Order: sequence, then structure tokens, then C-alpha cells
Amino acid sequence: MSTERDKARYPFTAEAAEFIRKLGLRIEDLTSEYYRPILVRAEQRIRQALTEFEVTPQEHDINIEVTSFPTAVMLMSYVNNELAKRRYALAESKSFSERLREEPPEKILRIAKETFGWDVKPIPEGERQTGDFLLHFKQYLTNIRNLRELRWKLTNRPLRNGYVQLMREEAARLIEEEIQRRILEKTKNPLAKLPEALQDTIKSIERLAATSTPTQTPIQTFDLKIKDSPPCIKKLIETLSSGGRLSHIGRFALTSFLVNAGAKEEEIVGFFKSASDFDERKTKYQVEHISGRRGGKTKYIPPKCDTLKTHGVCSEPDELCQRIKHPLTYYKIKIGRFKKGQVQPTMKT
Amino acid sequence: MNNEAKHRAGRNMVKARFHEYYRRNRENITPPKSMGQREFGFLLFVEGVMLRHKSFNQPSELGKFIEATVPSDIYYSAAYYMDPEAPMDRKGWTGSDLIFDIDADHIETECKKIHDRWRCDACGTSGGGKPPMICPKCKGQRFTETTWMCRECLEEAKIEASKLIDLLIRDFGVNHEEVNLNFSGHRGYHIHVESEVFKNLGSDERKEIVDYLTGLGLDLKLLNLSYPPGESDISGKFTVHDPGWRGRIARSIEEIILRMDREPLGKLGLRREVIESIIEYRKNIGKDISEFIKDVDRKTWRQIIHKAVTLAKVNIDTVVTTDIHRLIRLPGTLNGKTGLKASKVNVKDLPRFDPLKETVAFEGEERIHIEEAPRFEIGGEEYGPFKDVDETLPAHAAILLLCKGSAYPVVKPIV
Ligand code: SF4
Ligand SMILES: [Zn+2]
Ligand SMILES: [Zn+2]
Repeated sequence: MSTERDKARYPFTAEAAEFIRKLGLRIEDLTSEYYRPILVRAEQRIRQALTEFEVTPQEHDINIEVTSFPTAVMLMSYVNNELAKRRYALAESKSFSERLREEPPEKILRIAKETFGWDVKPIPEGERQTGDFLLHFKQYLTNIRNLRELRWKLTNRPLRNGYVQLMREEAARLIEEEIQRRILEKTKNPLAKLPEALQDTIKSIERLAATSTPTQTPIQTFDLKIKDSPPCIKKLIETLSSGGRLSHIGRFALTSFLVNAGAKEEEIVGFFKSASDFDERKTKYQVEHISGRRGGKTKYIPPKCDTLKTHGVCSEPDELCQRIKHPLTYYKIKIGRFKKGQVQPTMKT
Repeated sequence: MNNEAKHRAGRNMVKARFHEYYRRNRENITPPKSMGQREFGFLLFVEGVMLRHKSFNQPSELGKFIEATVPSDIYYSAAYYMDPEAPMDRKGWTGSDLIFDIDADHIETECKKIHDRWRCDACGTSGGGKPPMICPKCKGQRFTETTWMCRECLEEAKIEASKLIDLLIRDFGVNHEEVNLNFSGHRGYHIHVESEVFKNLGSDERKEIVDYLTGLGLDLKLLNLSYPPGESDISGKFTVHDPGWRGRIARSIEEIILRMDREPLGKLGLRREVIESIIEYRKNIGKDISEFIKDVDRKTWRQIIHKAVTLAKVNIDTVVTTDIHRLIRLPGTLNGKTGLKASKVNVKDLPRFDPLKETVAFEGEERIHIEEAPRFEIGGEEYGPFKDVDETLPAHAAILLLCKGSAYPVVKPIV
């Protein structure tokens, strides 16, 4: 059984959904004075999500809090800004999972099972050295799609009989992915026509979205460099500009590649701005560090192809890739810039 | 007759034999589960023509079609579609079996340098084994390859197939009955897993499974195996029963330490002292690996674990598994590269299965002129090497040479 408080804190659960269903709320109702507080709270969720990257729960009125979540999701489905949708989904799901990871395992387990239909079970008390839960690999695979760190690779996971061992915090992280995907799915297309009275609300969200998320990615300034980049770098750029997240090594590979390809620091920082989890200060610091302006004063170069392959960064290598061992070599061959004294392309025999 | 005409006569002879085979053995063709939802594809004897986007609801319809067209190779989609005959983008994909291709082409064997050859299309330079990236003489990039089946290569493929099946069952929880193992009729095995669990996985998820099988992204630190186990408490419990790659590595180490002879140990590239200490250990107490690895030094540990990882990796064609629209050879049909039957093999019979003998499809003899062929084995006999000779051979051997394009029929003089 979940408490009232839980419903407010986790309004995405099956129980919360059932609760809302019983209220029998329709979209037209939202514009009435009586339900106004729900609309206000929903808008507040969105504003906080877009500007602060989190959503803080308010527990004083459970009815409002629980209903405001699906209402906010519904409002976002009318917003004409893909990046804002991603940002919103990310902020909600992140906030949920941060709360969730503090919960007792039983609660996490119940949500995973009842709300998301995961095939998950606890690891028997005596055998708990490497995990708390056993999750079927199928749901595991669906939810690690955007997680690039090596520790999520199935290869590095205890897998037996179709089940992957997971720690409680890891389960919470995967639930975050699941929620994020579901929110994104629901914000894709509106279910009904937008009522007249809600148009101003949507307009104001769109205005906020336009200022907080750059819709124009500065890709143009990079056009030349990108055109001649190897497939792995192109893929990283693509992921980033569609609001996806990069692994640590992916981020490093991309930044160091751009630095070495002669991109200016402001350009790179500007470029990273399009990422949904962009943190300007951190990115600036990283770029300066990698380009050798900070710290060790050594300019970093991207990892070798072998390393990128191991970390799953290498993606759809083409014919030129067969002949090189380093992404920078690829670039230099492409732009025909092989001056004397520079590394020559190595041929694989 | 010019050369092209002679080889065309060879193709015709093969086609006639295939025709006769299908007339007699239509019922040997085992259509896949839910055949009506699959796309079928047929490679015709007319050079390179592929008939695709066909579908059949009944085994008898398929049999009739095969007998009427006599294709050189027959394929079906691992995928299930709403409308298998529609163009690709309108077929309506509803799922796909999980399939694996294990082929000697992807396995490093020494013997390939002897029985496989390449020839540069531009300048005619040739050599043994796999073609180079670029021709050493003219820098050309196009080659014609001739590959041969051999017992050694097929044994290697067999080992890979059993490793794969063991993993699917042990790690992924696949049931024995869901695993279909087929000899490809040439240099390897196909494994089809027909299971609801895998059916609607996308390419990304399949890629992750492939990475798991091939050990891509493996991180010894994350597995708690990056140091000599004597130094760590977790690794103290390092056993062959551990789930995932830890267990796989442990089982390989056990293989190395308890069972491998001096010669294969040497082949692994282990240092002499390491090999001696392994043999020594085995003589004395050698019961399980934990005793041995407890006081092994760091360098030895690195070397052993590295070899263990290599041994545990499964060698598969990674592209086949991730392609959710892939066509795969239909079991029970003939392979146009060899004339052998692509045959279903019972998993438990695999160790005793003899692909070069049990999949022979033709009887009688044929007289052919052989241009060039290395020593090869088929139907339990060895033949060759041949160079520019006329020979009367059992039909299965003659057809193999004709399929390979290394021979053409000897036309009996019309008296
Ligand atoms: S081979 Fe190297 S350059 Fe090409 S995609 Fe892979 S990592 Fe990038
Ligand atoms: Zn050449
Ligand atoms: Zn061989």
C-alpha cells in the first residue's frame, strides 16, 4: 500500500493514476475556476523544470499535486519545442529518481513491478553481495539505451538465467529512464484539440522555453569540421543536438576532437549549450582543461579508435576508418591536411 | 567452347542436379514457425538474380515454387511481417528471431592460408588466406576470393557454436527447445532462437547482446578482476559459478589450468615459466582454480586472464544479429556454393556431427575437367589437389567443384 504522501511524491505510479482516474477529470474542466489550482501547479512544475532542472514536490494538497503531473505532461504535448519537451521529461524523471533512491528496496521493487510491469525480484538475503534485485535482461536493455558508461554495459553485469543483478540505486536510475521515455512518449502528440482557454498558458510556456533552451544549435559554425569528421564524432554530435546525453568518454572524445580540429573555445561551449543537461560553467572548465589552458597545460588529443571501440563510441565505421587508427587521422586525411612532420595515416595490413 | 560457355554448362549441370534433388526431397524442407509472416528470397542460377518479397502460407506452396524455379539458394526472413510481400518500408515489422551466424570467414585459422586464395581483379596478383586491404602490387581494392571448407575450420566453428549455445542457455535463460542449430552447408553454423523474449527487441538491444557475447567493453576493474585475486576479498570468492563474465572467465581459467596440454598452452602464447608452473600445480594438488590463482604474481595473472577472456569470447558475425530484416538460409535446402544440404543439427549431437559427410546430397558420378583445386574432403573421402585434369568423381565432389567454379563438365563426344 502506498501512502497519500507517496502519491504526491510519485504521481506517475499505477496507484496515482488510478486515483486520478477516479476523479474523472477532463481537459475542459481545467479551465474552470474550481480546478484552477491544478493548472497553476502544473505550470509551475514546467517552469521549474525548464529553468532549474528539477521539480520539487509540494505535499500540502495531495489532490492538486497528483493531478498536476499528468496535467503538466498534457500541457507539454501542446508545446511546439522538442528540446523543451526533453528538458521537461529529464527534470521530472531525475527528480523522481533522486527521491526514489532513498526509499527502501521494497518500495522501489513494487513501483517497478506494478507501474512498469518489470520482471524483477529481490535477491535472497544470503546471496546479496553484488546487488539487491534481479531484473530481466529485456527491461534492462530497454532502459540502458541512453546510458553510455561502461558500468551499464551488459558485458560488465552479472547475468544469469536471463536476469541481471542490480543495486537499489541502479534500479532507481533505470526507473528514471523508463519514466523519461514514457513522459516523452506522452508529450509527442496532443490527444485532443487545445481548448481556447488554455492557449495563453501554452504560449507563455513556449516563450519561456525559447529563452531557456536554444532552439537554434550553433551547428552551422561547425559545418565544415563536422562534414569531414569520422562517423563516431558525427554520431556524438547528433546525439547531443537531439538532446541526448553523452558518456564521460564520449564527451571527452568530442571536446578534444573539436579542440584539435581547431574549433574555438566559445564555439565549443556554445555548441554544448544545445545539450539538455548543459552546465555552462562545467563545460567551459572542461573545454579549457582539454585545450590546455588550465591545469596541466597539455593539450589533450582524443582516444584512439581501439579505445573508442571498447567504450562503444565507435559507430558505423566507414571505409576510411579501416585504414586509420585514430579519429584525428581520419579528419586530417579528409581535409587533405597532411603537412610534413605530422603523423601519417597508418595502414592496417 | 569458350571458357564462359564451359562454366555455363557447369552451372546447368548443377541446376539439373538441384532440380532432381528438390523433386525427390520436397518434404525435407523445414519451413520456419509462422511461415506466412515471413519473407522468402531466392537466388537464381541466372547470375546474381534475387527474387525477394515472396511469401507462402503452406509448405506445399513453397515446395511447388522451389521445384518450378530451382533456385541456387533459398532464404527466409528472421523477421515476422504483417505483409511480407510489400516493399520493405510497408511490410509492417512485428518482430524477429534472434539469429547468429558463425562462419569460418570470421575465425582466424592457420589452414585458411593454405586452402583460401585471393586474386586482384586489376592486375591478377594472387595469394593465400584473406585478401589484403589493398593490392601490394597495383594498389587495387577489388579481389576475387575462393574459399574452401575444411575439417579444421569446421571444428573451430563447432566450438564457437557450442560456446554460444551454452551462453544463451546459461546466461540468457533460453530454453533448449528454443535453440535451432543449423549447419549452413558451407563453412559454419546458423543459430536461430525462436522465442517471445527476443522477438521484439530492436537493433540497439541486439547489439548489446552481441557485445556481451563478444566481450566488447569488458572492464576487468568493474568485474573486480583487475588484480591478482589473492589481494582482494571479493575475488577470493571468484568461482566458475559466478554469473556473467566473471563465471565465463573463471571457466576459461579452469580450462587453461586444469585441462590444457603443453602444446595448446604454448599456442595461447603463455610464457614458459607460466606453463611450467601450471603443469606443476596440476601434478600436485590441482583440484580447482582458486588454489592456483591465490598466489600467482601480477604479470602471470594478467597474461592468464587475458587468454581466458580471448577463449571465452564468441566469434560471430556481428552484423547478422543486429540486422532485424536479415534473410537467412532455409534449413533443408541446398547451398549453391557447395551443393551440400543446409541441415538441422540436434544440439546434443553436435560433437559427433560430421558436416562434410552427413550433408551430402547427390548420388552417382560425374566426369569433369578440374582447372585448379586444393586438397579437400567430402563424403568421407579426400580428393586433390588437382590442376588441369579430367576426372570422374562421385557426384557430390564433382558438384562441389562445379559450384566453386573450379571445374566444368567434360562433354562426351557424340558418336
Ligand atoms: S574507426 Fe575510429 S574514426 Fe572510425 S568511427 Fe570508429 S572510432 Fe571513429
Ligand atoms: Zn593488383
Ligand atoms: Zn581450414
